[in-house]
Amino acid sequence: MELLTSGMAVVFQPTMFLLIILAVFLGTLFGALPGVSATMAVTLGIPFTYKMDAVSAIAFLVAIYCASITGGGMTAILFKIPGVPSSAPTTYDGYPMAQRGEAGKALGMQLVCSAIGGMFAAICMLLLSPQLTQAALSFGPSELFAISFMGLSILTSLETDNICRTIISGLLGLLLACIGLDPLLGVPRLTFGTRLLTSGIEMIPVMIGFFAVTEVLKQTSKPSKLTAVGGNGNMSAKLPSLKEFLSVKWIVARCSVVGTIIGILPGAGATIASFMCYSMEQKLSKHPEKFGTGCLDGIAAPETGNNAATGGAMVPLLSLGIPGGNAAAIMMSALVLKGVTMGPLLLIDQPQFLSATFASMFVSNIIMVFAAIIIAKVFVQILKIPYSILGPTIIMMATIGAYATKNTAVDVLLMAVSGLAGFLFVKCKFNSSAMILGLVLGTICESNLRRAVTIVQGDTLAQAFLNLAKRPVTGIVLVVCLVVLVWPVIKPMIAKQKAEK
Amino acid sequence: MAIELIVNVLLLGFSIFCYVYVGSTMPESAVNELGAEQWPQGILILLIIAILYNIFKFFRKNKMDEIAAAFQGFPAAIVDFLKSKLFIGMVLVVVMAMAYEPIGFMLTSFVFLMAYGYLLGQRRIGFLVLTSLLITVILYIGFSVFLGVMLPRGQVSFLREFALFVESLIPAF
Repeated sequence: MELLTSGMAVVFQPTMFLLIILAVFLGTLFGALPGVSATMAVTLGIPFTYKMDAVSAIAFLVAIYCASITGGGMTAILFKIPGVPSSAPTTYDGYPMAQRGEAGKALGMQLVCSAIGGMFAAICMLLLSPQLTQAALSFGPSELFAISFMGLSILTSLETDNICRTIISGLLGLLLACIGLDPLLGVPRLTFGTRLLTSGIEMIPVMIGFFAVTEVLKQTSKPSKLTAVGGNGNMSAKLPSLKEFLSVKWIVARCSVVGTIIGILPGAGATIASFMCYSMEQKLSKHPEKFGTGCLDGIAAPETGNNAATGGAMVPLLSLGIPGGNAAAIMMSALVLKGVTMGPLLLIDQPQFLSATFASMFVSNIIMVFAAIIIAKVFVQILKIPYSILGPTIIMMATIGAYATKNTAVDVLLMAVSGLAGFLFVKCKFNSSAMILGLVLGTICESNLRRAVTIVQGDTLAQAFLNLAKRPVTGIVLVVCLVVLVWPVIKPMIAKQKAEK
Repeated sequence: MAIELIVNVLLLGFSIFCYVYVGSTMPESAVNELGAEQWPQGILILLIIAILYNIFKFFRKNKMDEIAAAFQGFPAAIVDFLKSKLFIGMVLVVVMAMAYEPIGFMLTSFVFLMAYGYLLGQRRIGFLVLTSLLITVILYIGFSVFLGVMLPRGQVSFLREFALFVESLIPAF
């Protein structure tokens, strides 16, 4: 209860409340704009946080994150183009409804389900994070290494038909994290004799480059055009009637739980949650044939699931200091930049981080409904902003964010180079998310592993690793990691063998 | 296709170089210690194996005559790329990044917004100038004045004085 009131006290401070409203509007707008993903929305929100304290910064970024996931559903319904990847399943039923002239009804259902999913996940986060933190307090470096390695083990699941390139991308991220002074002894490593690299690779400019600049370059090379259904400009959202809402109540309940659980798993974010919820509800439905033809169930499932995943994703970040996905990784970098030490002690020493995140999520999910209704009314006009104006503006905002990291032009140049590298990544079918995951988790993994090896000791390094794996929690988590890592590789082999038989 | 192979070969070469570089520039750790050089070396070994496998997969997936054809057409593809909007966009981003601190936010932003907007097909020059100016002012006021984010004024004296002059026009908050 104390946590709740302190969180509400942070969020309802006049300035903070206004900033959260701003964040919700920005997030909804960013999410709704095709080509601006939720991760990019959070990235573009970073420059707004430079003068905020750390607690306000996380509350602000979380509001943007939640709102952008919801905003993405709007373009999915009206244009059949998901504003964010997690809204892709919403197009299956949202667009046919819009074609039938029921765009308002579809938008209303999308907003209400998103808000409920988001609020449910926020409550789960508030209840689960302290428990996980308590458990994590008894963890030593070996357990922390195993848990952070779990974040890396999902690399093979990020893109199952492109495992080799995804692994290369993740390893490149880990290699980039090695540049600079090593975390234990302070020895310069991979600096190639230049002082510029001694402090390491700054994460935020790299992320801004990969997620914002690369996207604009992609649009420069292949611009996409939008056409709204009907095109009559009347896109007002209509909140569902009680009867309509009651018809989806169990869908909302199930998808809230599934979405939250998927969000907690490292790497499995809102996109997996929305697809999984859609297919699960289709299988459970008495009328699966109606899915894909424009039914409310098909909108309720993915939209509840993807918003519930946002709350789930905050659990490992706040309680263990391990980001569950890209957006969480960016939030983590923003906090680290403010001098916050991430890890299990964060919520013990500064519980206001949890309470502010919860309050921000809860409040922004409510404000979001009204913000989205307003935005929906002017949506067609907003989308008339030509990309020739929007694209360069995104790059300038990204530049402000990169420069403000340390007020040096080096970071702007790093952002630009990362943007070009990100484009090359796309061309060569490498995986940017895997690279960022490696970059963020690299130092955490290395420092914990090296500390753990020093503590467990052994005559040789192999002996030390063996002693490490003998620790119960570490051993179990590492076995799980191994299964998660190897399963996507052997699964197609097993399927192939079965097919041959 | 050709670019994919070239990138993989370059990555392979870079990884091998880094492996040797780390080994030669860092102190060697004891046999029972995980030292500062061993973590990156471990990553590099895995990276080299993964890249080699990726190259192997590339040759298994694509026929030799297709690869040869891709390399024959590579110079022409490079010329096309150099003429493309994408390349000009990349150059604009890099130039903007280099000019950002010496020239300052205001002029860099205004010129970049106009240039990139033109590149993206906006041909109404008046509209472009107006929107570029408006966005520059909104970004400047939004970030520098309201949010207190530092934006570079420029190192060239007259540009810096111009930025200070513009700042003096905006009331303090």
